[in-house]
Amino acid sequence: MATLLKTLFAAIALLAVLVAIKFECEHHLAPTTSGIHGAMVQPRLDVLLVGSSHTRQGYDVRALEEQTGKSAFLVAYDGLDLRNMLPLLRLLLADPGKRPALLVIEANASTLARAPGIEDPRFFFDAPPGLKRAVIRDYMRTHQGKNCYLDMWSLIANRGSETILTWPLVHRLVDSFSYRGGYMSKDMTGIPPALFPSERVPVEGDIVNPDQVAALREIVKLAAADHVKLIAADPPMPGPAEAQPEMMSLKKSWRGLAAADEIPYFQGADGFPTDDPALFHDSNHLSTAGRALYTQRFGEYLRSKLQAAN
Amino acid sequence: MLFNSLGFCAFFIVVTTLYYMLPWSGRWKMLLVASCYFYMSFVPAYILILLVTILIDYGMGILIADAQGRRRKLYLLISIVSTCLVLFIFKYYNFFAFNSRQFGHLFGLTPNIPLSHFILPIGLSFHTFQSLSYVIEVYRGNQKPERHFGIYSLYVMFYPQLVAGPIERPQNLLHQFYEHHAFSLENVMRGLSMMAWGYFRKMVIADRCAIYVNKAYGDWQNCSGLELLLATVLFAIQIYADFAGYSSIAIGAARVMGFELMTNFNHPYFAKSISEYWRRWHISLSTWFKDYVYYPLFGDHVSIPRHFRALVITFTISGLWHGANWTYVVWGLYHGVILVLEALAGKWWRNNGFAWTAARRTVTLVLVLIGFVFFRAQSLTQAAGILARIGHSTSLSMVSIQDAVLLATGDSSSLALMLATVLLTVGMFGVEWMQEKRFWVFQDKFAQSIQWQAAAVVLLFQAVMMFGMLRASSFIYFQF
Repeated sequence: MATLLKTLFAAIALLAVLVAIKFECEHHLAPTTSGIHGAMVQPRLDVLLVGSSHTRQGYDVRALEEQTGKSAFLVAYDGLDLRNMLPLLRLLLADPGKRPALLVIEANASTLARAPGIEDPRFFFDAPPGLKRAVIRDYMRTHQGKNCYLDMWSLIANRGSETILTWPLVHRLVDSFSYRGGYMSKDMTGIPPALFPSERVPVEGDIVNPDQVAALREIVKLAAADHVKLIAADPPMPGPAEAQPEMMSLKKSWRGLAAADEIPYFQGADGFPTDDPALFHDSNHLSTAGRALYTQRFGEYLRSKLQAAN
Repeated sequence: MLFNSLGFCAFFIVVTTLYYMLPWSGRWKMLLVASCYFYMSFVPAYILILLVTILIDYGMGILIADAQGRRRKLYLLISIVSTCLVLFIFKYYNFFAFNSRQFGHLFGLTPNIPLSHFILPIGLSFHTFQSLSYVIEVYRGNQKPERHFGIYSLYVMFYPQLVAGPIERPQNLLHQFYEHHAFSLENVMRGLSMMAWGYFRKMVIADRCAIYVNKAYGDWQNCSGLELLLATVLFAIQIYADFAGYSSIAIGAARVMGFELMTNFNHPYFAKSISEYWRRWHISLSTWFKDYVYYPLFGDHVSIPRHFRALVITFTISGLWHGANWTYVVWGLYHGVILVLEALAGKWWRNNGFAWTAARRTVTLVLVLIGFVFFRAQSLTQAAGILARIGHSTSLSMVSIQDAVLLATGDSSSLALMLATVLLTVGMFGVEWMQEKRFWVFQDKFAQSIQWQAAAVVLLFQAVMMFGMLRASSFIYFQF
């Protein structure tokens, strides 16, 4: 029986040590040309874009830099919502010497209705321990029940272990595929025209989530306190998705929130040919051609903003 | 209650602790109650179906033993027909009804055969076969009838192998319920290490492969040949790691309490021929078909054409056992035909040179992979479409490879997922190769030393917790 108990103790003790090491150190293995780690090693930036895959797919960072003549970096994690963007921005804006001149946050309408959550485990993996703790605290505040503890355990102990195991190779490959947080050569084809009319974005109703709104207010305060100019921008979606009643209602809410807080709001769908299937990869992401066109339009807007600021 | 759920962990600890605390008279009762609870955690009402099967075969077993002459055969037939009828109603009725309608349409008829709305009771095919093996063995005189209803019920319902085998024989299992298993650290450690290895195979390997396989087979029309080829290879790994993993957990859980269940897998992917593959894959089912279908129907010393016919028929039935779908029938038929061709190739194919052995292993694997396309596909049309796509549009350009890798999650995490899958799978098969070749670690250390077994449990526990897919997902063979 003693052997059995020793085995049990050894298994739990070793796991605790490994998980603690993982928690404290895994961010050192994060990619250096994208994500949080990538943003933190940059010198002072002119433009920092933050959002979900909707944002990652929306901007060609190299083209944006060439068009505006300003340095830019994109930090994007799948499904990143305002609630999780807040602690991330607190980290990225913490060093006064590295604060960007302009911060572009994603104004994705569907996120506004969503309950806070972490969709992309790479966000947690890349986060330094301080940010990890903030994310955990916030998650425990906004979630309840047994599953909440299991989710956290999975995130801390389990998710991202594959990256650790394969780090030497994956690290190099991911670094070589991205340019300052954005895609470098990934070719995203358009939607087949036959499927285009049925493109819809899954939305959890059109009721604005109060946690997301509260986070937006905090982001506005944070940017103001740190003297960083803030823009909310929403890359376009296919016409049928833009025309969903819930999306239209949520976009209206976004407009209202931006106006109330006096944030410049760039609605990517305005004037964009949203009825062209070739410009969209799926209901929530632009194709390579769509990315080029949207980046050009956003670049013009950005240039005018920067000129006005000067 | 899935083996890979937190609920099962608690169940296992409670049942094992109670088992060792109780005297023999209490042990079988507790195990029977625990097994009922385990089964009822899936669909409670279906325990009644199990009870019907148990009652019929328990009664018929006694009647066969007590009867003389032709009556014995009559009771055996009643048992087989009624047990198979339950299987037919719940598993095959809709398949029969649907195909009868389709067949009727060919002749301009519209037969009005209603479809049933029953859900297949979990593990029905497994405990039906285990129950049948009991009555057949009693009929053959190899097994005395079990007159203790509780012990007989436990033989059919013993929770570690209730829902997906191994399909036990009464001679191996029944007497073990009468034995007093004293607490033995050796049994506990051996059992726990088998369970840990099973969890590793299921949660680290099988569930990781499933991500890619489900994505590719779920949207096969939009996948390239390379993606479908990769998905088929991963499915072969998935189904093996899933089912062999389940079997390890079942055998290990029984071993912790001192029970010895039969081996179900013996490194099948190292087989040098399809016939050897079937001696290593799902051994409890292969031997069941050999003992209760092949030999009784076709005899021991038969002519070569009759032997070939028997092989094809037995394997086709074995395919149908897996599921009520033509894909399984074709899969079984395919294996039967390959076995015939292999037998025809004779000594020429059984050459043992190094290069030949390597070639035979490769050819066997390729043949198994082709069969798995039918096994995994939803329909014959889909299987044919997938095979055609693999054959015609598999490109090995950098762009195709990049696209194939990205299919898993659609972003950069695909790369880590796929590379980790390769590394962990190589690790798993590396260990199996050492077992196959009887490396000293497994011969001298692991098999005999409790410390080595404890070390294996500790390390495998870390691997499962850190690399396993922690959301409990069902085992593939539960659907059969």
